[in-house]
Amino acid sequence: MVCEMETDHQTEEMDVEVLSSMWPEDVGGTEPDNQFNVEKPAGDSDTLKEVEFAEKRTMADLKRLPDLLNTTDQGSSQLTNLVKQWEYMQDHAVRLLREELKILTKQREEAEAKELKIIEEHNFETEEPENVPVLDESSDLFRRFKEKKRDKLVGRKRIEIDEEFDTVAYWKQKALSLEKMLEASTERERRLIEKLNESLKTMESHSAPVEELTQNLKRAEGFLHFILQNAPIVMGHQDKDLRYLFIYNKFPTLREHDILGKTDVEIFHGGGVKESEDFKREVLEKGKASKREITFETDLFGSKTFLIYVEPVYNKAREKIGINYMGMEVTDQVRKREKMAKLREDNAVRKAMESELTKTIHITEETMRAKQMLATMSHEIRSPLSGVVGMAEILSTTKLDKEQRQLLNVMISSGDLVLQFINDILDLSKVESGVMKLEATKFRPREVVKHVLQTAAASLKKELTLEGNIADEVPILVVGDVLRIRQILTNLISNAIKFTHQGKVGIKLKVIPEPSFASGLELNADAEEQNGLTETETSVWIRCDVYDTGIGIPENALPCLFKKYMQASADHARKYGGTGLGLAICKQLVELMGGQLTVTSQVDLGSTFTFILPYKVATSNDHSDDQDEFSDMVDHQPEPDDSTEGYFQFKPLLGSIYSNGGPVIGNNFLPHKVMLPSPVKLINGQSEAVQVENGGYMDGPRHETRSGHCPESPHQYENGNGPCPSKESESCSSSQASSEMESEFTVSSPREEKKTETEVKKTSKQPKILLVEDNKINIMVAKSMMKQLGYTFDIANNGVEAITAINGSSYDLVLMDVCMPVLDGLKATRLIRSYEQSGNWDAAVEAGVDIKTLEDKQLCVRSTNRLPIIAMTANTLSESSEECYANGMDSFISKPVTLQKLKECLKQYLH
Amino acid sequence: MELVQMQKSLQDYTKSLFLDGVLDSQFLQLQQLQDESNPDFVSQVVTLFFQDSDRILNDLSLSLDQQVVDFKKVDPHVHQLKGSSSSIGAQRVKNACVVFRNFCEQQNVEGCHRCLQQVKKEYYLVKNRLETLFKLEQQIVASGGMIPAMELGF
Repeated sequence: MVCEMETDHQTEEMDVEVLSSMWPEDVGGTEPDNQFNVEKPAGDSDTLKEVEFAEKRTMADLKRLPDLLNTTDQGSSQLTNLVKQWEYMQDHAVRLLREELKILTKQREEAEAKELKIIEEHNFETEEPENVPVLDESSDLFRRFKEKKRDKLVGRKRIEIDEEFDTVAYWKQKALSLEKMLEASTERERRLIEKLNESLKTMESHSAPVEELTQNLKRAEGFLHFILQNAPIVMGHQDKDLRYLFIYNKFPTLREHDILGKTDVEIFHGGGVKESEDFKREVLEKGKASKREITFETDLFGSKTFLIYVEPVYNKAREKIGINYMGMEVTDQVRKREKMAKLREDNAVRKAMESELTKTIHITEETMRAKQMLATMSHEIRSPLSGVVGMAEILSTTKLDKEQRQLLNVMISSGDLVLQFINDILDLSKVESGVMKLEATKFRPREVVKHVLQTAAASLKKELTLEGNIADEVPILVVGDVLRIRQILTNLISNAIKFTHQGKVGIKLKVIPEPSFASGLELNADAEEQNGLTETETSVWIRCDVYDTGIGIPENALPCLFKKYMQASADHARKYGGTGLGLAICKQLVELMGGQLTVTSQVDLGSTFTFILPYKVATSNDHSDDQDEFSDMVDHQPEPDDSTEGYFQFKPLLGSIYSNGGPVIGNNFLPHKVMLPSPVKLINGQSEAVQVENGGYMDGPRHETRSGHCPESPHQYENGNGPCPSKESESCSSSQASSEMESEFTVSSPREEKKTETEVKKTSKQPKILLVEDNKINIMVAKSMMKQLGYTFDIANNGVEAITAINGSSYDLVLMDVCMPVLDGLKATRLIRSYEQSGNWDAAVEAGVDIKTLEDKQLCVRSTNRLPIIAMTANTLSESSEECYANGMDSFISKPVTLQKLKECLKQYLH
Repeated sequence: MELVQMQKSLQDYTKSLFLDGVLDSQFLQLQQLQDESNPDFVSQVVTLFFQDSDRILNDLSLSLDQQVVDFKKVDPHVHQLKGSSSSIGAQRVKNACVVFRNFCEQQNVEGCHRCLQQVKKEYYLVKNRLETLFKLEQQIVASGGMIPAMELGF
């Protein structure tokens, strides 16, 4: 029946009808239906028994509810539905009854027809008493029943009496049998009547529609209660002013009269109330059901989130009369959801951070690797190279002819350059970390260019023309960091040479107006300061082009050209080698000095690297006394003539049209100055050019052989006379040695004695040196070197011994190993510095050094002078120079110590 | 053997030591420091190096064979050996020491053992070569010849 109903009602409004049709017939009492047992846990039947439908939970304005139900579509449709359902049931019953009636009628008609027949045959039978029950006179139905049955009986009777027709006995018998039949018939009639009555009764019981409806309603209500009894749901109906007319709340905190007739805003206060009301109003206005999650923050029930469903309610005239609203508390779910969202967010953030971190780690690792590589490289290259340079220097102290000297000078110069490069490459990291300091030195740009070209030409293995062209307006003398500038130039030139197979490579210098990028540039203040530029001094911008006729750079490779370890292509890297660091260093250096490095290039035609830099213009008055400041530039062959020279060219000797066809000595391409008509000037009657003469090559600068002139530069020696002694140092003779310990080390070579004999008169005191070193072999080697340099020294085997020695005697210089047993060099230096500051050894004593009490000595030791302490470090990484400086050391020599390094260091600190 | 030939073979031999990387330029420094006033300087230093290194290697072997290796003891030894070998130009010993110290830092016993073997191998190599070198020199001197100066040009 339910099914039928459903199909019946499908044509009607679904949203309303479905509700009613889904109500199970049997729900509503304490009797659980099967389908609910399936859904509920087994133990639930008990629960159901306990179910109490607490009517009081429903807060209903009972007067208004029926009213509401009558006036709204929803309400009336439900009633209509119930009525229809009932009507249908009635219809069905009626139909059944009608069918039965029809059958009975038919039977009666048959019976009547038979009766008529009998009556026609036997007229006398009419007096047969009529035993019609009086029960229901009016009931046509009953009479028909009776008649029908009589018909049947009569039919049979007639057959029985055929034989003894017309006898008394026969009639008697007939009367008797008829009587019996009548009784039976009456009996049947009675039963039928009973049955009919029963049927009537049941019909009557069904016939009250109100009762039926009430039952259905009860069922519906029961179902609702059953479903909703524990649900965290609030349901309500509000009129169009949003006043509550009806509310169902499982856990009411307010009583009915507190709510009904009021709006949300009147009932609650706090967060979300307004929003909820606005939402309801919005639904009311739009006329469209909608859901929303609203978090309430009220005094009444704290912070709770509700999922609210609001639908508009219309009356039959399709006018809005209010809203239905249903709210379910979803605080926990929302909290969970938010937690999840937060977790997800955190996860994402963490993942992002992780990937960021991985990137950073990767970069750091790469950096570390690069640094390690650089350190290793520098370490590995530096030692053998300093060996080469050192040997070359020693070689230069021997008797050499001019050619050899010339070659040797180039060799030393190049070697020095490489050493500088290594240091500069290490400086790259300093530039990056911002600790690079620029030095302001005076230098001659023309000389720089010339030397760079000369050096490049010396190692040139290709037939290339190297040329330099310096505009006349470029100052003779400028101030800048010549080392860096030379490094940049050398880098660019060697790069150019590397990628040029024929044609020429050159440097062009000219003065340009202040570039736009630098005008008003505050950022460069630092760099300019470092560069020795200040507001008051004249500064000049010089543009330097390094051009070549080489393979050029494809446009797409330009962006990464200045990146570290990048080359134009992998092919290039394979073909030309190189670290890919050069241009990166150049760019960084140029930028550090406040300039700009750019490149233009055309494939197969060549490239031009241009850098513009600011320089301070130095007055030529300074010229005379700046010699040692830029000795780097003039150390090998200071050629005063260069200062005005504007053009140089170095040509390959082999196959060169300029070589005058003469024979060539060796395979080297020698620096070769082409005599050009205009810019070359002869000064003092000398040509500073290295000319080709009869296929050989000319001597170096004349002044080198001038007697009596001895510039203070490390590589300038008078011919055959050994190192040129500087004024106050390097005196040594055993007779002058004052130290107790040094007698065994003071044997001087005859050569040195001879050399220093004249000096001894001037310098009264042999410098006192302390070597702090634990390694016997190192001591032995150092001892021998010192001896050759003409010094003696005391030895301490560790930091404690060093402190004791310093406490007991005054030294001019300490050479301190870093890594030593008992007390390492860094700590020892710190303690010595502390002593110098405080005048006592308290710090050392505190550190556990046993100082013999020599108070009187403490007062008479060296004056306030800071004792120069030079570190001897084994490894540039773990015993870094920074660490040495941080601990109060003045300088450092990297191990293994070579004669060259030692000499330079002693020269610097001993005067 | 002819003196000239001996001198030639000494030169070749010395050269091969550099080319093989057994020695580096620091050894040239030593040779440079040897002069009339100190004619046996190189062999003195090298002998001292051998004595020192034998002791260090012995100590190292003992230290590394301990149940619990005390890296604080091991590392200074390696450092010492590295310093000495670097000073005389025994390049390959020095390089092995650098690796050795890395393993010390990592407290890697297994790695240290391997490194010790490597250091020993390199040490005995350089010892053997230098002893041969000195023998050659002695032979030359005994034959009344001069030790040829090392060429600087290779």
